[in-house]
Amino acid sequence: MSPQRIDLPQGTLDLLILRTLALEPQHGWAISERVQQISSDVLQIQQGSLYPALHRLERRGWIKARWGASENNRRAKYYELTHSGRKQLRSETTAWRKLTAAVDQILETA
Amino acid sequence: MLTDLLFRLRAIFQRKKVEAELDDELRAHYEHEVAKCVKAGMSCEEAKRRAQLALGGIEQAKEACRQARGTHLLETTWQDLRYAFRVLRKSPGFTTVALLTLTLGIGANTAIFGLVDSALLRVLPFRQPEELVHIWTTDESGETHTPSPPEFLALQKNSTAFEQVTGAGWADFFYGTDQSTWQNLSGLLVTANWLPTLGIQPILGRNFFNEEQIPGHDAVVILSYDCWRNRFHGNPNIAGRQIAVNRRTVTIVGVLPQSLGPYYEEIDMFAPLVLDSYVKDGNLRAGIIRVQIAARLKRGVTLEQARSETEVLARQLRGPRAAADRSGHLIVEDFAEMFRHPGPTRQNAQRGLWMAAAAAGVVLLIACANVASLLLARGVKRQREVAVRAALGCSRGRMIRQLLTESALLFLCGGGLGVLVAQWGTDIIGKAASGLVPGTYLRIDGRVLTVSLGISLLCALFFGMIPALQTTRTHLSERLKDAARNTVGWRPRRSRNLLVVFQIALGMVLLVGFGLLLRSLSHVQSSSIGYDPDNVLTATLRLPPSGYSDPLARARLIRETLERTRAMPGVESTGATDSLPMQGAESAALKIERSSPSTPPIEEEVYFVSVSPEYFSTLRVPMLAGRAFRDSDTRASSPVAIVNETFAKQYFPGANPVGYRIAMAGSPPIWQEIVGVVSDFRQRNPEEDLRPLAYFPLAQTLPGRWSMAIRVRSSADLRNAAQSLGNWLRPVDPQLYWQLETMKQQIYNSESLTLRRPLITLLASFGGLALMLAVVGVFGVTSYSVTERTREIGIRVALGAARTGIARLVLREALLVTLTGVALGTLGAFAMTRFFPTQGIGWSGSGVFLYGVSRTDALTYACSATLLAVVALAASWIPAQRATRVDPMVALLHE
Repeated sequence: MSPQRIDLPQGTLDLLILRTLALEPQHGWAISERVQQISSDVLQIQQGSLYPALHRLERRGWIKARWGASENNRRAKYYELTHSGRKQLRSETTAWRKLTAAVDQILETA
Repeated sequence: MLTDLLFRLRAIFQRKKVEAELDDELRAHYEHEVAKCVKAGMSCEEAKRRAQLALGGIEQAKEACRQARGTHLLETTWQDLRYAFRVLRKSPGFTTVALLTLTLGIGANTAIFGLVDSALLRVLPFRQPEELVHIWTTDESGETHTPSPPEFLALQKNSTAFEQVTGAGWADFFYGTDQSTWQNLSGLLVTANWLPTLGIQPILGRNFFNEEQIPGHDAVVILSYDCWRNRFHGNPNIAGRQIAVNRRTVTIVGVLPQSLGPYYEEIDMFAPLVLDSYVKDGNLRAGIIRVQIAARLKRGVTLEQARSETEVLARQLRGPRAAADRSGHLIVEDFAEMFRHPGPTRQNAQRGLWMAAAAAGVVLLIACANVASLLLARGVKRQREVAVRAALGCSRGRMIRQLLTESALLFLCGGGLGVLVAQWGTDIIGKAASGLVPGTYLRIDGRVLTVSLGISLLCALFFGMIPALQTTRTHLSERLKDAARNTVGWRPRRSRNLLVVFQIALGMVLLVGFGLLLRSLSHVQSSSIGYDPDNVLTATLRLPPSGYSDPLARARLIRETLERTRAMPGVESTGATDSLPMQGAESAALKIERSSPSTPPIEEEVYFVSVSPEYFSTLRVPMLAGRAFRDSDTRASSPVAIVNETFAKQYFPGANPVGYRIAMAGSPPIWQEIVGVVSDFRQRNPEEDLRPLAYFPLAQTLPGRWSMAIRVRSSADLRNAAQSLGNWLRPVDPQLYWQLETMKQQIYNSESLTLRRPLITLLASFGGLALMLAVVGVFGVTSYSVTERTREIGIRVALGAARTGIARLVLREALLVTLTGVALGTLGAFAMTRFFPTQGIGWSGSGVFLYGVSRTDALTYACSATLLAVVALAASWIPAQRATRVDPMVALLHE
């Protein structure tokens, strides 16, 4: 594995899942693949943290699950964003932007 | 919020489905991973291996998902409970002993709490008692009294602060189905709104109607529970039955529930309050008609608002008055006030009840310690299990939680059984305790259940924690080795020994308490009472409300009754009094002349009793100076008095009081000449301090209630007299009802003995329980110690130790534990007995537990210690015997 991998900071996993699901409903494996691809293999989600996170988000009512057939015709559990999930995604995105901008600013000027 | 709840509910109730879905989901992930690797050109085998690696621990992932569901705690608790249940069922011996111990401990406490609750904490068994008030009026000197009918009517008509204003008045009822079975009952006349206002619902029949307060429509009564049970045999179809009360035919319309609280506890019958008839038949003795007022505040009206409104009403009623006249103020006081300052009898009873509660608490502690030491011993056996679980990655917290669940299950089951036992033992304990606090009923209700549940859980937590911590204390590798070798470090053994020490110390405290009370009782019973109670029958009469309002008629009744009784076969002599020995006496401020004529009379509160001429000689109490009363001392002659020896010593030191005068303080005082001095005897309790007493001639005071003391020649005559007295006295007045007892029974029923007996019964049973538990404790700890030391004993035997030496080894440990416990218990008993009250409330002797023994009485301590030591040694005898039979070959090969 050539690119250097980074551990996910606390709380960002939820944001990544929500963002990934904003495009279209996905099942667990596809979510982790998508994150890995888009981040050019920098970010990798272990299933040991992915599924508990999905269940937690479902419990909070931000995503909901339904069973469907996957691209290779397997039964898979698809997660999609709910209305409150979208709201949560917006507010978390704003918060993340603010945080990274502030951190950038400090890194550049200090 | 809602989605969260639904999600969790689904996780609980469709657990299997949810778990299956999780499996499916994770498998799908795995298959996707494999497919991806195959696509990348790997072989099938290789792809599977890579996928497995990428996935990591499936079980850990699952566990994390379960936690994310938010129902993890509940699920594992359920799992723990089921496991605990299986474990307990697998060791029936341990479970039985532990449950039995807890059942007794918690059962005793449930029962005692039920009593404390009904007798001390919830004295007002009424609906919202905080809204209830009493209203009093004042006399010229500002003293409070029961209000008059006009005051009651004005309040009922004009006040706006109260939802209801009710009236009540005491009355004597005479009930009989025919002329020969008259019995006197105490009654309360109440307005029709009295029961509903207090929130009392008849358990049978109905309450009074409003129109039943109109004269001529009031021929109805409601029975108290006790009256219904005792005099009407609890007949369920009693409503509608007609009986004769006060020479009228009345209809029983209802029966009230059991406890009406201490204030109304003695009432047998309720009848409608009709102010007209109340004036006629009412308060015979005082001759003043009074109405007790109870009222319920309107919602939102404060006591202060009610007070100011009532005061305005009172001012209108009073009219213009002199400033010095303090009469006619209406005082509003909340209901609880009456019970805030309980009378001496109640206070004494409360002392006893608190003591019983403390003793029950000690029993519970012993029981818990017992179970804790059993749990510890079991913990030793389970160390291999604990070690294996720890090795498999179970955290210590998790294991402690599981062990605590186990003890909680145990304690809760014990608590449940305890409640059943308490319920079942209601009769026994309730009887013992109703001697302590009259009018107390042991009732197991929601409150009592909640408390015993709380006690069980608290004890489970505290006493379960010690073994849980001890058992899970691990140095893993050591523990595995230890477990394999089947020997134990001395740490758990020390904890167990400490628990047994604790048990024995508490047992010692209980035994000493019991011993001191028992020795006190025997001293009280053998104390000199100053009169001869043998072969004396007592007959008490309460005058009927009509027919004897004329003093002459009353004087004649006393004279004729005494004459006729004296003529009865077997009777030696007969005296009469308004207050028999052991019944106490009234007291009043008395003016006493001094021996030197220049000093003014002193005024002091003195007890006084009315007696007939032959009373002292019948009791065989000698006159020390002067004369006894004579038949010529009547209302027509000059007032006379007799004083007792203590009176003479206290107020006339060194002088003969005969010829001096005393008077009831009043205006103007009626001076009564002292004509004699009588030897002291006890008037309330067998062990009381002697106090000054004045005696007045019964023929001059003519009370409405008096008793005869009838001395007969033999105990056979006593029985005959008791059987025939009623008939014998019928010619005097066929409607009188005599309540018969022996003088011995009077002593038996004295306040001091009435309080002592139930306490001794309770402490004896608790002490016995403590001994039993100590046996279990010592036996358990010694048996385990022998089991643990099997190898050591085997080696000792192999090296030539004698069998007696081995037994001594085991017994020495048990003895050491016992002696330490006894020593600590002695200190504990020294400390605890400091709380024994030394001052009586009211009459001396009442409510004082110790009499004739010091609280450090050596004999009591020595006996308790010996008893405990013997019992403990006996309990360790069997394990010691087992130790001597250890075969060294077997013991060593066993490893």
